[in-house]
Amino acid sequence: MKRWLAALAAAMLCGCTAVAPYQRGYLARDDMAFDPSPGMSRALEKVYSAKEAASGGASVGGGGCGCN
Amino acid sequence: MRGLLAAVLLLACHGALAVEAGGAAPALALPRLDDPAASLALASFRGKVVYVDFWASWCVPCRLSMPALEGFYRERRDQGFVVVGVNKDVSAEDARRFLGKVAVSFPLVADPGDAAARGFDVKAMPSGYLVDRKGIVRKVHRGFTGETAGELRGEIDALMKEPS
Amino acid sequence: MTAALALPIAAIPARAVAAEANEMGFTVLGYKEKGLMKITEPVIWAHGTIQDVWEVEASAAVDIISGASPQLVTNVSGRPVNSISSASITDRRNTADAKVTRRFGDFALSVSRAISDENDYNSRAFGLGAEWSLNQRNTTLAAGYGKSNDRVGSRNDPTLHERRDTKEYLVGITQVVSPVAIVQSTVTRAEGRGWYNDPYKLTFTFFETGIPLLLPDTRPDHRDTLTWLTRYRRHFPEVRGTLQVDYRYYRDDWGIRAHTLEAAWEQAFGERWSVRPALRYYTQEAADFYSPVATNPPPAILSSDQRLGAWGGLSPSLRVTRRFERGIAIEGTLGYVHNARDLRFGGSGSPAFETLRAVYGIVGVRYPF
Repeated sequence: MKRWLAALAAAMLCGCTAVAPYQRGYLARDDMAFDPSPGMSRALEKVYSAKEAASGGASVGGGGCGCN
Repeated sequence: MRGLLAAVLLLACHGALAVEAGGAAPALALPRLDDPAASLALASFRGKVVYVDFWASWCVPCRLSMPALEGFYRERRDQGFVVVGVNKDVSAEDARRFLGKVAVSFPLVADPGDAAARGFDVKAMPSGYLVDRKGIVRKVHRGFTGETAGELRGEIDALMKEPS
Repeated sequence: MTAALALPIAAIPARAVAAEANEMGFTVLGYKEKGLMKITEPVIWAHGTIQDVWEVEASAAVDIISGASPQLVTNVSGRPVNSISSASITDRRNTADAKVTRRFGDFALSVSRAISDENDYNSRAFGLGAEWSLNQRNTTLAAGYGKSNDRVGSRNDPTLHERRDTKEYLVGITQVVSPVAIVQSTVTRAEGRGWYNDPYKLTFTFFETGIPLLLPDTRPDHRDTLTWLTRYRRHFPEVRGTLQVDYRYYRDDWGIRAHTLEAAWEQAFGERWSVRPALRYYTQEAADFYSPVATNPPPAILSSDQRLGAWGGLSPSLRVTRRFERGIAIEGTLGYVHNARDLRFGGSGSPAFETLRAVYGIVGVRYPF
């Protein structure tokens, strides 16, 4: 488990050519964002987390719910 | 652990040769934004104070910088000041949509091959290079805030007083 | 009962390039299970930048749950089935959260607070976060810490007053791979101590001989989890489409292992429209103490809640976004959820798992200002 994490970190840190600040046009698109719409993300989280044992991943300090 | 730290530190290196105050502004010719067949040479503004501004529709502080620069241009163009806006959008359509909301009258050029961005070694968006009447870069502004506008006004006026 | 909910207050960068300095939005969720639960949830949210160095994000939501949830698992008919023993109930949950971030050049620090109240559950949580951008902002490292203090009650038993406290730790990295690709990977660890039993669930088991046993849902008094989320976005300018892939690995010390994989393609049509079909697959292994039938003598911990069983789910969805002047956007998502025991990866999930079919619709508006 830890070896996979280290390998992923290494792969991501080195070997990537730096993208210049003026080449960020495509990255600024909404469909390139991880969470462009907080309301939509929250609603989707509710749909799935109410039925699944797995939870979270993107944040901490979110608190809990009864979810019965 | 140490290997990871070394890798992180290696990353933190910045580009070597930045155009900073004191260097000559690169003599570039760039296609006009509204008419790509026509070309605008930066050298043609020798004798004027020039502010070369790199902007894009996706750059949030540009919504502040573009109107501010338009204001400076209108006030001082007759006394020998010009702003050259270098657009870094991938499509001219995105630039046009931005200009629909923020109209400017100073010359606008495109930089399709990144020759200008690399020549000036742009490190942030927006980046502005204040060039004196002799073609020397005297000040670089990276990013744009309310304070930048105030500083820039003073710097432009100081350079305008210098002879060409 | 989930220990931690991922909120719109993310601890890791939501995007590589800030597109709008100030924005607010309103979203409504409608969710309906076949025969069972119905959820309606309106959400409002906003984020803004003050003086270029301060960022404030906040949201508030009301969860209205009505209908029924399986309360009893009994094998009176020969094999264990879910049984809804009480009349349908309406539950309401109010939540609010806020986050403040201060930027110092390539570094940022943030503080967040989350509050959730329902008549049988109260949660108060706070979070701390730090971000460091390197390599001309191509790489962003993030770290976060969160603490949640929950109070559990029961609408059936006014004497129930229990607590549950959770600590969470997060590390993540966001890396720009090319002008058209970006990847993000985050590991979160949570350590929870306290009351995890579901006060409304029971297991009623009949045996060949002897009296039947009626056991309340009993779970361990701790839950340690590990979540690893990796997200990838790749834009194809030639076709004006973007590939979006998310993978999440989850495991905890209750014996549960889960994998979530979602792939989506967002296609732009003209300047105003985009359509995003998506498919989400989820698979889960059962908790060690999950069983739809009790033994005699009964075990110390036992839960027949099928949310702790082994099963898999497929959820296709379709989102349409329409953009207007000044960045205003209206977005709608329609989705279908199908959870079944034979959709578990490798097949043969928990025999007592009853297939869930649900439909949901989400409509939202985003307004930059």
